[in-house]
Amino acid sequence: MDKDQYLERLVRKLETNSPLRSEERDQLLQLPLILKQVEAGYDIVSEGERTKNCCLVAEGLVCRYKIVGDGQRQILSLHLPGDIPDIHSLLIEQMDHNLGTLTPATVGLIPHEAVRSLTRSYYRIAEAFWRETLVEASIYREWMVGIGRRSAPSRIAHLFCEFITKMTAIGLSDGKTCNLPLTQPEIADALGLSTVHMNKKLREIRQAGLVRVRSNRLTILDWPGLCKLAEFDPDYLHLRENASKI
Amino acid sequence: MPQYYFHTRDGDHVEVDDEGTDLPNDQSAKDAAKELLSGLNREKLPNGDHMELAVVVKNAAGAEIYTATLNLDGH
Repeated sequence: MDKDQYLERLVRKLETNSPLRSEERDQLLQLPLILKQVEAGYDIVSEGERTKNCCLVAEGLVCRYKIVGDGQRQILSLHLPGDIPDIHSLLIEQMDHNLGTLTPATVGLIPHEAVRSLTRSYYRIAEAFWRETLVEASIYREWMVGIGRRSAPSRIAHLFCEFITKMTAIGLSDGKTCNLPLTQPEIADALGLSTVHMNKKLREIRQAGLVRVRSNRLTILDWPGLCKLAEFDPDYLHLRENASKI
Repeated sequence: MPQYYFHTRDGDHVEVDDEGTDLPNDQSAKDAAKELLSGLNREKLPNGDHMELAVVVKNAAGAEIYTATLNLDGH
């Protein structure tokens, strides 16, 4: 894939939440992008760092994470192709968490200056980025409810519901099956569970016939049942009417 | 990495782990058993005033390497 196709992913992602006019789309597609291939487990930006670029996830899966005192990792959010997980670095200079890859990935660095000048000229693009950060805050609230109050099986089911819904919205899933390139320890780190606990509860969800998880692939077998266990209501993702939905 | 199996018991209800989890060594399997107990405990309230949750860890050869039990006794 080339630079233009990666920028199209950015446009597609923004359009899941924000309406864009054709001129705005064209302007986004002209953003400069420095492509970089990185391995799994690579830190794109580290806590404490200051950057002059934003990072577009072009291919692969990226996460925000923090490490606590005893060395345990908490994964804070998952980012799919088309996301710019450090867009806030335009306005908040110093990173307060790490941004790292969970799979081999292609990332596209976009100079802050280019994003700044684009958002100054096109207020609706600025609004689209703003809306994206607001939707992310909504996702954080949902994760907070999960980690704070939901049972382990419900948290796991919720992660699956959210993941496939987001993949479907950006055109990377048909709503029934998608790549889920996460190891069990990584899922556990995202849900605040121990790996053994997570394995045990995932097995229960599989045995209940809700999903199949095999070789990095998630297949939904009983969507209403999974949503019920997860208490999943996609409203918090604020997908527009015309975004692809399950 | 060696594989360990974490069988659990809640009162009379036994759940057999037939898939196992890869962990570096026996010590990490023991730690994982304690972590599992505290996780299970967090999501379960006892029906009455008594609860007994147990984890039995076996290695790939089927030998029991560790057992941990958590009791709640309210009165």
